[in-house]
Amino acid sequence: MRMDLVLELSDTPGQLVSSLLPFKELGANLVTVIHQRDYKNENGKIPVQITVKGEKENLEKIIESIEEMGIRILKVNGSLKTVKLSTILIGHVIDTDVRDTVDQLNAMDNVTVTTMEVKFNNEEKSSGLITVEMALGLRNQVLNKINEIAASKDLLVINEI
Amino acid sequence: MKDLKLCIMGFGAVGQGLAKVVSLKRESIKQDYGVNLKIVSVADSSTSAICEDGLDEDKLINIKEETGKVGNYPEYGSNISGLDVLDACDFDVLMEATPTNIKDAEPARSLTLKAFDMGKDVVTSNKGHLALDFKELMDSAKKNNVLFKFEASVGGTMPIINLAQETLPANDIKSIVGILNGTTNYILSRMTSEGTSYENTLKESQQLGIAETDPTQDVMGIDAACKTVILANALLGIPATYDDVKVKGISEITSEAISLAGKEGYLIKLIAEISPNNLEVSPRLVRKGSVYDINGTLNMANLKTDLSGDVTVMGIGAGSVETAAAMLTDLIHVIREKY
Repeated sequence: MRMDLVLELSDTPGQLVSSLLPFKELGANLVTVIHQRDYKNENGKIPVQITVKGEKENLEKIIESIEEMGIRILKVNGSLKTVKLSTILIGHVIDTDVRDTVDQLNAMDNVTVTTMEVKFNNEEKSSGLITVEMALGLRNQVLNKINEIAASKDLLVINEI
Repeated sequence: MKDLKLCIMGFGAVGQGLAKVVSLKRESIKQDYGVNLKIVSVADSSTSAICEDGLDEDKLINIKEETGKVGNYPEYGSNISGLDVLDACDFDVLMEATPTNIKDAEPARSLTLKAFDMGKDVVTSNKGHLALDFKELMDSAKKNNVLFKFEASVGGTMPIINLAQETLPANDIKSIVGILNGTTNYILSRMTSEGTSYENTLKESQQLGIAETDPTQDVMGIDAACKTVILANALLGIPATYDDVKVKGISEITSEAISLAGKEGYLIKLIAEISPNNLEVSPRLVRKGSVYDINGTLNMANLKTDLSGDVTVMGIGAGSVETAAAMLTDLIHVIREKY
């Protein structure tokens, strides 16, 4: 099976080589690697196009490994790759400006809040479910942002494992 | 036949369970290992029963149940307590089952160090001294050339420490993620199945004897955090102590949060995460149907290894006979190695 990927690398020595390690470790064959240091995205990062051949299962593992390395994957087979992440917040979810919570997340590149559902009990505290859709590779950034918002608003965060 | 003389310190649920399992398994241990188990001294917080020829297990349990003090044991009861018990009668292995103390680790810490200095092997179910002074205890055991076994301190009867050390020694353990506290798992399971509030479910658990009258250690995540420290040190080689763990309990979890999670296919569990860059006990979302989807007082742990991939264990995380069984297993390891 063949797969086209577009990764986003920072312009520091060794980035390209280390991003290619998962391909070697999982025994996939590189067909092309296009890396133009002169061309940068708005955020100063370099997009790298990779075409690779291998077993379907291994290609999926490669995506996981690259993500674990904190490298953002912009596209898989031509389409923008997104994943969902759910989190629960408990505390004064509404009173601490729920609008601002959603806005702060939406302000991140390639991150969209798709669900924000709040339930109340008889006490003053409420519980909120946030579901975020985001580009591959952003998981840790989004989790950090959620933790940061929760800490500043004294909310308990329940994140996925 | 060789006698193996046991000193049991602490005679609550686990200590009594130990007397029970020693009595149940004495004959089979005789047959398998040619060793006769003899309980020569037993102490609770203020009294003891001491007899070099061995005490009767049933009598010990009955006296404790009826009078509240093991010192009322006929003929051999005494007011000797604490460290003095170790000097009062010769023994081979200290079975240490005093209550966990997370403030200063006593009396477990002093008892254990004294036994090491006397050249005695120690089996423990205690978490306090391991969570606060792991390195000091290991160093002392090594210096005195004695064995120190603590399987019962994590996950009750669920094998995890021996599993990693004895069964999977070819592997490096990269991380462990698990449910290490049965009381909180019970409370969260009931809140999920019944839709009840935290307060009411806690009350119900206390009536059933699953949660203690003072549930702080369980519900605030302290118990799971102690276990996190023990696993970090023993299985991942991380020299952590209690203060290195980020701890959040379950007391703020609402039934609304649980139902919101359920809609998206998640459950809320109190999860312990042990990895080189994160030591944490906190409520987390886990997928329904995943390995973390276990109910009631069960414990589980998922070990990520470098060669064997993921290995998952599950078992009964507490209980008198169950925890004592883990201690007896450790004792058998000592017998295999030394007797």
